[in-house]
Amino acid sequence: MTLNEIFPSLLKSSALHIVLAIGLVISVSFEDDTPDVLQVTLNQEKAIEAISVDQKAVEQRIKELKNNDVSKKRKEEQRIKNLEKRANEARKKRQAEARRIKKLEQQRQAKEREKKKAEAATKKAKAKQKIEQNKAAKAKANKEKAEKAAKAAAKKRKKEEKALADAQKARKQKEVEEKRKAEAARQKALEEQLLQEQLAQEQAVRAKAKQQQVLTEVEKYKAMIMARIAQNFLKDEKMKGKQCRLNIRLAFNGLVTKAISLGGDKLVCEAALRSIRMADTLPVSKDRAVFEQLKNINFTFKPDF
Amino acid sequence: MSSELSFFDLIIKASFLVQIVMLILLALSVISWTMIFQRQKVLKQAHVSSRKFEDRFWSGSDLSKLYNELSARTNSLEGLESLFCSGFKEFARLSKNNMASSGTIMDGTHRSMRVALSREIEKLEANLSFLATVGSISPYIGLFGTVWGIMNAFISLGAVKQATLQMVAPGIAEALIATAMGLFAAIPAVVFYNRFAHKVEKLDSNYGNFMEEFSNILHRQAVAKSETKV
Repeated sequence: MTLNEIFPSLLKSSALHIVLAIGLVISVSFEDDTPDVLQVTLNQEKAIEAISVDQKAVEQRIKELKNNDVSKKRKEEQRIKNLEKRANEARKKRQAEARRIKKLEQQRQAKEREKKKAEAATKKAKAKQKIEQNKAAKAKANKEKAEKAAKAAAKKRKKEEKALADAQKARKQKEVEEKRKAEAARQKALEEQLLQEQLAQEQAVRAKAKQQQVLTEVEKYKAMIMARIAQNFLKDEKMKGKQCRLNIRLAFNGLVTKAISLGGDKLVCEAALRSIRMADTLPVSKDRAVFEQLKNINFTFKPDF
Repeated sequence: MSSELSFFDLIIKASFLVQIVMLILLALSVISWTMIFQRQKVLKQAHVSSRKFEDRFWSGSDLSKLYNELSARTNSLEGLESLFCSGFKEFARLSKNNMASSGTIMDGTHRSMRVALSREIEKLEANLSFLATVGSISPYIGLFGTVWGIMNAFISLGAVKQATLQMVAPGIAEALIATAMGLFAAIPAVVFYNRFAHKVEKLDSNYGNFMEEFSNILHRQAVAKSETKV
């Protein structure tokens, strides 16, 4: 029997197996019913209700947490109000600034007006001088050479004066323009800075809120882990009033990878570790941020009687 | 312990030896199905060709003409054709030399046909023993994997102070997969082995009948020849 003879049959058989395997993998999945109590979603209300059915201790703990939550929220609101107040103050400041700028402008205009008056006075003086010069010219009619020279000189001086006046005018205009521009730029920069400040503040507030949520989640899961341990915990009268500090490391699915006692009553610690081993998996959050906090946790376990 | 155990997980998480057992069983299953498809094809072909040849044989055409036709393609003869050819060849050879009596001619012809028959049957039966072997041993292999897996599960259970059902169950489930696979390989192998064995038997008796009928015809011819000689 050569390979060529077998090959189509082999192909058929392989295809059959693959199809069967895929069918099995897709159709067969055994789900074991883990009680709903231990499945926690991020929805706080639901989670609390689910727990309250079974575990009074957890309920109490969560109520405390809730109270904490409320007070924290109130604080948060206060903070936001403060922020708003500050923003208002900033706005008022800005308005005051604007007013100040207006005043300055007015002062500047007054100065300009004075300058103009002074110019007019000089002009009048000049006109008088001209008339006098004319008179002198008439008087010196007979002295033509001198007169001509004087005339030329007067003309020259007039020209120079005119040029001077023009230059002065141009310079003044330029100055005014520059001043206005600088003012506008300054105002713009101020506004931008204020806006950015506000944005940053808002962002900070949001980040803080998120952090707060993660922290409360962590607290909740801690409480649930404690409850889980307490479930399997074998109590003894000797343990009354004693406690144990525990360090637990968890895998992403809640599997306990390591559990050690950090000190405390030996009896309680042993019993707690045994109970953790028995539980095998502990409730953890599916939220990544929350899990990061739960991955390696320390807490004090205290059996209640 | 995840809340969901899929088929795939069970196989992946099993211990190394159990995985090897599963691999062996999978290979056996694939090979046995290959054999099944192949044998099915061969047997069907043999059945069809024997039916065709018988039709031609009994249509009353000249036997020597039929022989000439068939001997033109000696290397692709199968089933009844090769039986006929070898029988007719021997008969012609023996009857050419006139010394032989009709009894000796028939003896020789019969012998050569029997040889051809056993060759053909051998061809048909090839690989059937493999199917039988797979059918009988793969449950044992699967069982071995299961026993080993359960053993491991219990050994690891011994290390724990307080055993729960949750600890034992996945290990046993993993181990039982091996038995399931063994049965999966064995059942078709057994079913098809029986089916093919029956088919081969039928073909065998078919060939045998033809052989007897053909030798009958040849015997008649031989007797007629020897009578004319005398």
